[in-house]
Amino acid sequence: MKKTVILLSVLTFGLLSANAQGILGGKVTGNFQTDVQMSKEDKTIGASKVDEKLLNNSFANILYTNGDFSAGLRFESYLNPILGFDKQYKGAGFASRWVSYKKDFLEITAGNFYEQFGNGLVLRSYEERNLGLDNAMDGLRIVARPYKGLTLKGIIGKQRYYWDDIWQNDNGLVRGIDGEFALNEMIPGFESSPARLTIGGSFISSYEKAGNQYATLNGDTYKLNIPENIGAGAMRFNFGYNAFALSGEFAFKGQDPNAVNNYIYRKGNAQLLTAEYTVKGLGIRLEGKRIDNMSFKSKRTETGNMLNINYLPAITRNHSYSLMAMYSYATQINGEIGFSADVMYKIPKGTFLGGKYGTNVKLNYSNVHALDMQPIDGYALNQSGTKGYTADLFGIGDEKYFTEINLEVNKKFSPDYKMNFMYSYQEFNPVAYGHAGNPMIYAHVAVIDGTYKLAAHQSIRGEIQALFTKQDYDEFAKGNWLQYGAEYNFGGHWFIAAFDQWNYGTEQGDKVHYYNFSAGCTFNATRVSLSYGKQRQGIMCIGGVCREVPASNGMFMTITSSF
Amino acid sequence: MKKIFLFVAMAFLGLVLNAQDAKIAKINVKDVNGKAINTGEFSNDGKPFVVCFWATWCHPCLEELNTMAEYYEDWQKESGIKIYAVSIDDTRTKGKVKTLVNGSEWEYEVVIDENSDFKRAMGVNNPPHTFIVGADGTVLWQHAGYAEGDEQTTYAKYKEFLNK
Amino acid sequence: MKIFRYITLTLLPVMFLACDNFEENEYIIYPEGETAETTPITKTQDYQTVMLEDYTGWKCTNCPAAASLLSDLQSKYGEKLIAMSVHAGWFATPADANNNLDLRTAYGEKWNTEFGLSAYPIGVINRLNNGSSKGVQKDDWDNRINTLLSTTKHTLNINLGATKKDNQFIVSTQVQSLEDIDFTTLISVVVVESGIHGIQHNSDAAYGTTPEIEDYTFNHVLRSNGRIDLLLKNAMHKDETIAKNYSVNIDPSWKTENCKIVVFITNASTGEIIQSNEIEIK
Repeated sequence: MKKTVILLSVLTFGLLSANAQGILGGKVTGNFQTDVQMSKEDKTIGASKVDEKLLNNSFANILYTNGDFSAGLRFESYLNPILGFDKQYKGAGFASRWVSYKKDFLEITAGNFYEQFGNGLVLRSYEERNLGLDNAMDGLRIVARPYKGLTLKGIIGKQRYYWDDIWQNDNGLVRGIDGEFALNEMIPGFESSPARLTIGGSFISSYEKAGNQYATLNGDTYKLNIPENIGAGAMRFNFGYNAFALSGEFAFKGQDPNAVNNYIYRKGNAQLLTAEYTVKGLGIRLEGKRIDNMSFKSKRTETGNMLNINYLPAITRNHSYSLMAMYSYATQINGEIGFSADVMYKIPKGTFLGGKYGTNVKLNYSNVHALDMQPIDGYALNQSGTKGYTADLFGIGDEKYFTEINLEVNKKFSPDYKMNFMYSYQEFNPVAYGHAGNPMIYAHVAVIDGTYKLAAHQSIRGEIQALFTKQDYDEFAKGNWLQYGAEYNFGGHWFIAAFDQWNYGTEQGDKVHYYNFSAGCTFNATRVSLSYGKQRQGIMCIGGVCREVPASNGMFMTITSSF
Repeated sequence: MKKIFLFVAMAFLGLVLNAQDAKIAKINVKDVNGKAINTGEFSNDGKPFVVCFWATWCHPCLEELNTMAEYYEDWQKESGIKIYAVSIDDTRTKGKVKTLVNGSEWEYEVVIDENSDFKRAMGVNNPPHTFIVGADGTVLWQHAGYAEGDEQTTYAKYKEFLNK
Repeated sequence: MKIFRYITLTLLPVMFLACDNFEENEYIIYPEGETAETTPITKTQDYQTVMLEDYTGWKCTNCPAAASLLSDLQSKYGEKLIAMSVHAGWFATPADANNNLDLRTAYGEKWNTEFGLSAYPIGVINRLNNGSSKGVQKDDWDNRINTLLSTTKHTLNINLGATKKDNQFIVSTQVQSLEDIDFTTLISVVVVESGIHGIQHNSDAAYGTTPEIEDYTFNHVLRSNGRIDLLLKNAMHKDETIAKNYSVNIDPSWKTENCKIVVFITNASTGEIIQSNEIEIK
């Protein structure tokens, strides 16, 4: 690690001194974030004592650009990681460094990079900082655009694993190629055709030495024959004709017995299909998704959020109101079949419902079930060391994972006054939080959010959220919630806010309040916010990936800046 | 500790080198129909333009873009402003971008930065994040976050740079 | 068209990026001797047997008498007596005088030493100790078998299926426990062949010509390549069934139509046979 950084610096400087003009012409940009947390013990909300008293996560990116050459460094420190982040992050250092060069139709990146093929069903290297998820690749990437409309990509490398020296561990090596063909641009005469078609395909192969894995069959323990090279491929298309569009991706994966799928030999597959119709003022979208044994990691014994080679998003709505997001669905990568529909409509200005400014209406429905899995003859369902199960492509299992219907209305009443109304009905299976076999949670959630503009740079926002459910049986099903609060923005730079989340009518009575006071300011690209109060224990999900956030009671400060 | 020192040294070096303003990064993104476009090709007939990072799941972003959408027609007539709305939605929500854009009647140039490559290259921490970029690609001004009234600040800044 | 050239160029490297694939019977690595191949169970058991190993050799002049007795006992006890002739030791060492017919096996030699056998013919019954060795004189065979059949505790049944596939015998076994078994059990699957012709020394005219029988028939001769003392289970509870499949490589010199499979289960700590069974190849 240290060696590579030094090497990189030398290389960069060499390049700079070789080209005196480069020093003057080079640009440095970057961004920075630091989070500071102080939390004390609080038995009513289950916040435990923080021995370090002060926790701090920080990172800074520095990018150097000079014409077609660019290089970057990222420094991270977790001293110690804030609550909810994996303790393995503890430490500080350069988490990534890279150089990139563009020449003619080639773009070459050496070092750390992020990449996505198609929809990511077989490859997506990305970071989700708030989840502590980073599966950056370290290696080589080549992107070629040799012909108009054609993009070819090739990658090889290994994935980040906390602070591990990845070139010393046995984690898998990932190799992949991808091709995308925008046919309208490739075939002369079709550039401005109303029909548009793009097709693509990718292939990924990961190599990991077979370790010793055992399975117990009929009471006896056997060693498994582990595939060392795991292949995955996907084909995709994107077709559009005027207001209509249809796109899809179909992925396949070879045998990959691993800790997530309980060491079964069934091959994986996934399908994603979207149809949409959009005109000005109206958008309609239908999406179907099926995932069947698609866990794909570069370490077969890994079960957490790290080392994912592919990305399998949830098709449920991504909520930003906190009570709406209390029961967030997480993709069941071992198998699920789901459907979602969205309608977004703007009721025109000047109509009865549209009023003077028009009214935005968004309707969303999603439904996810288990696959219709059948055991292999003579074995239990998902028995290690066997094919695991069979599942019909169009079969829908009896177990429901998630259903939601929600309606959102954004209405502006006057130049100074607007409101959001939102209602959602959710049926949530705790399997998404890793608590299979618990009763379903049925919840009604409503939000009213209003903003009133007092002056040019002065506004006040009030919010009431309520969640009603009869289910009150465990840490993750805690009955009724009410959240209310207000936020005041002033001077073009400042804000103060006060909120309370109230968990009422539970076993603990009505006394559990999560008060939170915050204040902050923004000057151009620098933002500072400080909050003091309680944070409920919960699960934070982004893109169908979740992490548990423990309860806390104390101070939290965030500074972000871009330069 | 050595690493931290090295880092500080590099950062300092960065500031020294940063004698000139940064340029917009040249990254391949896609429009809502899936057509590739390089961010280095963003332009506005020799005038500055605005780049807004947003996402379908980000409330302040939608507030900002919805508010600006009401003024956009007037602004365009007055100053010829052009806004590129860069969605950082990933596979999970990128499909909703086109539906939302049309459903909300936005007239912006909307592109999708699906794996956040452009976001990273521009040093954006969280959306919303707004840039004003000069005709030569120089980043003139940037602003993070959105509060009621910020759209007026952005537009005032735009006019300031336009008249320079 | 140029486009298709690019498409082909893109797809080409795919062929070099392999992915490993295992057939269904390769998912798990079986211990030496076990296999994923199966054959239907055709012989079931609901009785206790006694197994008699007849240690013999072509130079053993009293052995034809013992073989004849064994044949009589088989008629008497039927399927409750499992017989196996083990050619081992000095008496079985091949020579020009028997046309170098070698009926010995590696494990036959081992048992011969281990069980303390020297004067042939000698029998070993359920591998029970008999004084300082496990050897039982032929005159005691009938009595002991008779006694053991009534005194041995019936704890297991061995159901069997056997078939020939390519150059292997595939043997499917189902071991059912009738009692809790608190000791480790080992299973052995061996091939015995009958109807092997060869020269045999003989001293008793009642059983053939003396001093040697030119065309003697050797029956239930223990053959090589068997699966010996494989772990069955560390302990079993009542009414448990263990299904396993074994393969035995066929030697080209065997007449497979004359072969039988003998399966016996021993107590790992004492070496005693607690149950046995045999099946013809289907």
